[in-house]
Amino acid sequence: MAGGLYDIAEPGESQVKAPCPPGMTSRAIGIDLGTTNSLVAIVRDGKPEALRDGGGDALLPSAVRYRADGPPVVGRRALAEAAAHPVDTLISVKRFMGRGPKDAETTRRFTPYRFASEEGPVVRFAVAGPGGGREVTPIEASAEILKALKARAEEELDGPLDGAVITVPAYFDDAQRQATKDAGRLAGLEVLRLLNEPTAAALAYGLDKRSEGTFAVFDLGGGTFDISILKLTGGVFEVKSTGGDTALGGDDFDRALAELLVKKDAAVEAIPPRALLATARRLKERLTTEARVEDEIAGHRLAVTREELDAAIRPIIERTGPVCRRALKDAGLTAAQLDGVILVGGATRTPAVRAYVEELFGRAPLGDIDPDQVVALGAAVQADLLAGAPREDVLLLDVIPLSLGLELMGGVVEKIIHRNSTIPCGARQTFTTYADNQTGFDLHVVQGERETVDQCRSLAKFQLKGIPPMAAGMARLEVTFLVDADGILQVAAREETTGIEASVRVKPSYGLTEEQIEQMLVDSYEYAEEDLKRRMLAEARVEAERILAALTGALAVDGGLLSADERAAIDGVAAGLRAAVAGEEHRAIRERIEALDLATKTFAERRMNRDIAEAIAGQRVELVEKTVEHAKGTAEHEARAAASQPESHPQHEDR
Amino acid sequence: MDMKKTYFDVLGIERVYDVDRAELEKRYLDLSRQLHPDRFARASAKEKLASVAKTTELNDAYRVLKDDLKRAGYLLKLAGFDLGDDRTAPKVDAMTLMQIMELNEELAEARAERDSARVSALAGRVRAAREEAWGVVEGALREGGAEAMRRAAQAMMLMRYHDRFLEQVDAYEGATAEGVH
Repeated sequence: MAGGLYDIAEPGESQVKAPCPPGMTSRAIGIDLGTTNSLVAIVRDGKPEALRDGGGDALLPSAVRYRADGPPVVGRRALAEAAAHPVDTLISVKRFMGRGPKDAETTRRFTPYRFASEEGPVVRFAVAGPGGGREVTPIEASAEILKALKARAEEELDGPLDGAVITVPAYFDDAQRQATKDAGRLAGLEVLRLLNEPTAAALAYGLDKRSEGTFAVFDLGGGTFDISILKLTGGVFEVKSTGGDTALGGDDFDRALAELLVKKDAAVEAIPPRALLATARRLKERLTTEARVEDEIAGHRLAVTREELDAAIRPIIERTGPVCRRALKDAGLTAAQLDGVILVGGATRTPAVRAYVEELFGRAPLGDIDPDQVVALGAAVQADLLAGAPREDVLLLDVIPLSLGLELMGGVVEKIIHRNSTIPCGARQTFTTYADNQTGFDLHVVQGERETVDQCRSLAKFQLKGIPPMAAGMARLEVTFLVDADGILQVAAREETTGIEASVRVKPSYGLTEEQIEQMLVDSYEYAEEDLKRRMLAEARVEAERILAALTGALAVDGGLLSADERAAIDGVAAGLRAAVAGEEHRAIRERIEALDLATKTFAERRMNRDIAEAIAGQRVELVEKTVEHAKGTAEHEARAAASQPESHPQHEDR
Repeated sequence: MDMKKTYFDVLGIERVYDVDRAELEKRYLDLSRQLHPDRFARASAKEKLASVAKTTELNDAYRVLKDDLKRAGYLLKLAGFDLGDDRTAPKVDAMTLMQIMELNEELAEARAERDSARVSALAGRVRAAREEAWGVVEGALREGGAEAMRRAAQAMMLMRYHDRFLEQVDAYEGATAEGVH
């Protein structure tokens, strides 16, 4: 497996680079494309800084308002006009990146949007536009935000840019990463790299504080949550593990508070969703410093205390707990072994979040770099490194957040690349045919941690066709997964005996709802036993069907070796196995397989003896060897069917 | 087996089971600094591709070699025993398989009865057996030679059954722990 696989050319020393001497300003930018706010930063005189708009604001609200009579309006103005134009103003559009109309985001409460279509792989909003309206995708809306940031940077640097690093939540899956990269291209940016947000924060933090040790970055933004465990040593930023939830953030606090207000006074429900959420958000922000706030809502005076807010959002905050514990476990660490916890993201300003983090990690978190800016600052540092000022001492080693795999017979997932593998990475695995004369393979690429395909996210489906008819198990399908430095996957498949090939740049097929993904992320632990049962059932079924098919074939050819009674006995046991396959009990299937093995023992022996006799008669030593090998295989198979059988399908390359 | 570069070649270390961890990490980081795609962001498309390819190979090699179990499995693969391939994986003898089968049955019973004490007792036995098998693997890999390699491969195959068993124990314990919550 080593070597050869990816040999293309030696990386030469003649890299084209325009080094940026110290004391100069880099023309490469770092962008934090956030759910609620976005920022752009550059490195000036060796230090990263966020760029401000004419009014002195670094934060650009991630809001885009589409109009019938002009180009879209982006940022603070769009946000200010949002209540008046709820349908045409897209806010928190990041939540829809890489998602389809069937995903749960589109059916949440307090969503004012009009969706153009129920079908297709990508969400489409129906908004105002010239000639009565237009449809836009989240990618296009994100591109508008990126264009505004790009314009800000071009004005500051007085000319064209040298490329951009755009940050993404570490837990973004392949579809979400692709969508972000597409948005960058659509905005006319050269996307040098997609960088994970917690890694960007660690980069800014580590370089600024000259920190060494192992840190957890707890990043709770407007709509996404990430936890990354990193080791910082001598300029190396090595991500040990990562975890998260791409649908959990400060937005959810606003929703919880809105629901609380509705509960306090039913009249509140009459307020349009957008306005209600804005009110909730304002109250939440005031409660960061005040213990009790009052406001005029729907003509009533309503009061909310910090305690009430804390109680309402506690269940949301607690969803971060299992995610953090798993990340620590994946890194092989305990909370006590950490050197610090770094807070990132605007939602970590909420006192209840800080308290929970302290409780969870048993230490007060660090937050002395502005949690709103630190991601953009780190992205600027990385952009500077990539575009022209490579520093020998700085090295970022990031990981893939979710396992990547293929669907096997019976809907079982075979993981090809495991979560938390350092990227770029690759893996190759060999599979074989299940049925005789099978002339094609259906390849279904999925992402997630669960054992069965219906509980992972479907990324792509493709086919490898034109394989000449062969006996089951003869074809050898070699599948290669490659994940690049942006965390984006490419899959190639090749049938070894014929050399037939196919490959895809994985584009999403959206097999899963957001709800299912959330479940998948949070409670894969809880479902472990159920998963295992499902997997064992699927494996037992495949095994049983293979044995039944082999038996049917053998009976068709050599049925004459059996008496009528013997034949009836075998048919009876085989029928029993078929009945068990239709059931849901893997143990029942295993028992019947054993019974069938026993019932067919004499038949198998007679066939073997006859083969050997024929072979010896024909003096074909070669065939004798083959037959003996086959017999050994049969005995081995019996033993394996009896014990719980490890790894029947895949041909692992390394472990 | 192919004659291509091994993971040991990729990292430039000697092909033995006992590797010097600090040396391995140092080589990995040194090579990463030279080859990582971050250093080739503005290079030609060809060089970019080459950098990704080389770094992929390096990351794959390091992932396998830094882990004792994976390194052992890889050494056996180089010696002709690919444990993931039915055609080259050695067989575990029938007696041992019978014992595992019995343990599996006992575990299934204990799980069905929610007898946690019995589950952890069984797990203890299997963990001890796994430790013993691992001792055989390490000993045989240090010894070297075709016969020792076969012995190591057999013991590693046996460990797969142990791992499968312990996975089921984990699933049971995970499920019961969540239940208490």
